[in-house]
Amino acid sequence: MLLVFLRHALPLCLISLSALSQATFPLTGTVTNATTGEPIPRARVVVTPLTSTGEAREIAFTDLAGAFRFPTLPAGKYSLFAQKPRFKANGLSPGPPIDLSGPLESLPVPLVPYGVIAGQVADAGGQPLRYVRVDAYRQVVVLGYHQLTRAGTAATDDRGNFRIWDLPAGRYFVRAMSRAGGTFSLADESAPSTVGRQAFAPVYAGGFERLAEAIPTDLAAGQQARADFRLPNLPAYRVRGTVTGLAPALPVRFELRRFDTEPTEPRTFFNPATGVFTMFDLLPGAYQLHIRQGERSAMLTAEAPVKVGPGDVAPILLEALPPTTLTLRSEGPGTFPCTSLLIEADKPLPRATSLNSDIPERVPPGEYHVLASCSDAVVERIRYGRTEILESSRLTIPTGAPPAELTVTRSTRSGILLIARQGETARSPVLLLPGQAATGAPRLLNDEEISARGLKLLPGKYTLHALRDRLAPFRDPAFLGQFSYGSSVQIENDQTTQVVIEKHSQP
Amino acid sequence: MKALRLLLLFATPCLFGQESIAVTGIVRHALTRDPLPNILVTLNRTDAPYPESAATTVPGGRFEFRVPPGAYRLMAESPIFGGQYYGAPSFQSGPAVSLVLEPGARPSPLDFRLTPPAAIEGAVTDAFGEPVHAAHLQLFQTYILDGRQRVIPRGSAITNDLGEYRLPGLGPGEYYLVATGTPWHTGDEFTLRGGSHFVPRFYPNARTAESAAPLFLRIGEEVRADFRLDESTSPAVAIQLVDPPTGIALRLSIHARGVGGRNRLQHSGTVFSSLHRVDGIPPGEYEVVVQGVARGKQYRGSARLSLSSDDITLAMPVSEMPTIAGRFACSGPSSGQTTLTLYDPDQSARVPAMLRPDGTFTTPPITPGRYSFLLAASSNCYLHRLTLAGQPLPENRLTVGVDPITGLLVETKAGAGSLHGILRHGDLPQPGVKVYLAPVPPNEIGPYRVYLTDSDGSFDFRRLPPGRYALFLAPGAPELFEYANPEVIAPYLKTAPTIDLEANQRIRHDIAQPGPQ
Repeated sequence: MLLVFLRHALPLCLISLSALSQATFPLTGTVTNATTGEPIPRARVVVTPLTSTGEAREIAFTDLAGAFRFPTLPAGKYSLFAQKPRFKANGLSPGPPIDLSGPLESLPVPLVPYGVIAGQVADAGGQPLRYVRVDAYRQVVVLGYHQLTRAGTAATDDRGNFRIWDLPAGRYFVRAMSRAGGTFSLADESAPSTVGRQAFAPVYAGGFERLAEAIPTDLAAGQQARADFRLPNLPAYRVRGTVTGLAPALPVRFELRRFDTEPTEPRTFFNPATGVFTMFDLLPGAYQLHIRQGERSAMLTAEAPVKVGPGDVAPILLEALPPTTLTLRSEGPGTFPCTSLLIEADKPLPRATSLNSDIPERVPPGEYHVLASCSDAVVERIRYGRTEILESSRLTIPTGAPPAELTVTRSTRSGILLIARQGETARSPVLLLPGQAATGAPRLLNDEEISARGLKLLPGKYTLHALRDRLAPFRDPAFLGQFSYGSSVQIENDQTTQVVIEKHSQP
Repeated sequence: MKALRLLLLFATPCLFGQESIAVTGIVRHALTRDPLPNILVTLNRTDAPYPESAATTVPGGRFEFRVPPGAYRLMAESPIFGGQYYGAPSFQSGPAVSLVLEPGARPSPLDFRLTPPAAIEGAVTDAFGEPVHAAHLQLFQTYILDGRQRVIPRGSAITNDLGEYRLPGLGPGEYYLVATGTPWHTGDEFTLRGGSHFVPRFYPNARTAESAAPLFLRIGEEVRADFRLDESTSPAVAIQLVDPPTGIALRLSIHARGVGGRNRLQHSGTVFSSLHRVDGIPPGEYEVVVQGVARGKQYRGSARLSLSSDDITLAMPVSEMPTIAGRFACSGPSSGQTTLTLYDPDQSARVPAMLRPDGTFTTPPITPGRYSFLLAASSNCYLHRLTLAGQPLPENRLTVGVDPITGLLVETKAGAGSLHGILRHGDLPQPGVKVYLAPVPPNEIGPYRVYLTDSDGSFDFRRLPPGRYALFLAPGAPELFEYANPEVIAPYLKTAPTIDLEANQRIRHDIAQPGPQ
């Protein structure tokens, strides 16, 4: 009987398997505007087999009705990618792949349109201002903190008009700032020639100087929002000074930071031979002056607080210093060295410096968030020199700080937490809140940490929250305050504890 | 004489106290004659880089300064009009009419006519009528540079998401406009072969530079120029760098023939590896250049690319950029500080040569070209001849290739002279009139000069090599008057006075402007 099967049925099975693998099917669909439902003509649609390299991908363009057609795709799994200017490139990847085991017709591919912020910048008298820089900052979440990232920049034309496009839906803060806050000539891109005793104050939409007071622009998908500005023209002053310690031939950047905004680069005359500089067209106020030369590990920096106006600022003296050398030390029981990540705090586009045990790294001065991990133990303490810092808390490295050690202490005590997500939380991100600061900082757990192996933690009390959004500002007290539900758990030394999460904590 | 006069002008406040002279005037719109309020007016000494005084015009367009005697330039500027010197025909064209304020002078109120800038704007669409985003509009202008008519780049614009562009701040004149672009679906990881390109279009939508038509702009005019770009398949282009420096990114630029002998940019990008793929290049003739800095040295590579519909791999050697080393010699007693600048008018390139105390010099790394040498304004030396390996260089110009040049001898002579005077019509000084100077007989080297007479009708040509010169006016000359073209100026020289200038001589020669009084 078996012999009969092998003789007759098996070849048939093999033939059908072979036939299936060589079979081709059509894949058709329509690319539409996700907001209006209108078809999108001339969109590019790319299908890529998930089992081969990109060479086997197929490309089609939609017709006037937004329809695309791949008439003969070999059976298999594919990702699909659709693209069109003024729409967010989108598709079904990295979502579930397309399983083409038969004809697939009328696949809907919605593309979300980008938005636009446009407007006009004029002086207090209503005269349009040209070459004024307009920045659109978008509120994003980095490491659980709300931060601003610059989503787009434009310069006004000769009529004072600007337009920033390709903006995803979201909350924006728009700021207009003439070059170096300058006067007519300074607003120009050419070399300034003016006396420069007046400057335009940079303002956010609504006419406010500070971000905290700024009126946000909530931009929906495909929306065109308007933001008009009147820049006040105010008396301006100069700052003179001398900076020593810089290399003679490399370019130097002068930056002034004021309030909670990005630093500005004022118009500056700098004599590299003498180190003497003059910054022009500065509005009255308290600033932090940063002078930088070189990049990252070789960066020389000088910093000083500067109070401008009324009147020019008398010569100030600064010394440029090299970055601080920071060495990570691992201590406590364990075999493998620990690692740490320093992430720039309060920067629109924060950069990270990774530290590996016993390898000195040159770290520029600034404010950092500190993360640390040890592969075979739980982190109990982090110290900068003799100062205790908590994980993810801020670390300030002053300008010219001497070489220092960042010490990560492994703990001798730990327990295992097993997390099970059920029901509506089955795929949700989970936030871990320590009951006491000494047991760590809030952590958004990834899927690996929620796996069957469990998560190693310091003994203590914790609360777990299932979130609806992976990009939640989980270090924002206001965000945490809205939780109505949480799963409490007590971790004991050398014990495994399981917790089941069935509900979202976010309303 | 004029130097002495200026010295006296500036010394006067010290000798007789701080005398101040009132400079008043009204700024008006050049077309409507309406007075313009809220215009920034600055006054700066002709010998100083920074403004002496600044004022903003009040309603009625009036401004007023009180300044010590001296020679000044007056500038008016606003966000709408840009900046314009007093006496200049428009904001984009100099030179200015200098105000010469003698001690005790009571100058008449000035009538400052501010010319509104013109603009070109339009939209770029593809064959489907869809906007072309990031299309590149390159503007060229026919211009008088060093006395000869040239086509110079006058700016560029990139279209926005609606395919719109605007080229503002333009003076009156003759322009050429070219639109290029790459379809949005070319140049990324999904691009097949060489992708596709938009066929370049010259205003008014012509396919070649030869069939391009000029765009004439009048003062303050707004002109619309739309383009429709057709898409076509591009061959695959790969650039194989030979001996590139390691570990740096090089800037890539691909230029094609533009208008009036000027190149236009077809493509720019960054090269990170020795084999670089470029998508979206139309068939044609190109100059490909890579350039970058590594470990304090500048590197460059260039090659001609002749692109048909076939795929191509272009090998391009990359080498350290050359420098020019040589010696500067000035025979005779020289005065003033000497600085040397190499100048290539064809690419508007200026390269300073650092002079050492012993007279030797070395330039920074320099791009290939044909350079002449300029001497500092404060020097009394003038260029006599350039000699390389004992051989004088024709027309005193140095051709630079990819190899360094050593042993260049820049021979100059001390004793540059000057020629000055006053232009009068009858007894009246004539300010704001162009006075021209040409060598006799006219040659290809020059010097050819033009001077816009000062407020007292004076003109002053300085740092002239000894020789025979002609001074002439060119009433009725076209806007693009080639005053350094021997053929063009020949009719004017027939009646022009000639002056023999000897070394260190300062000759005064007044000119009477012809015509009824």
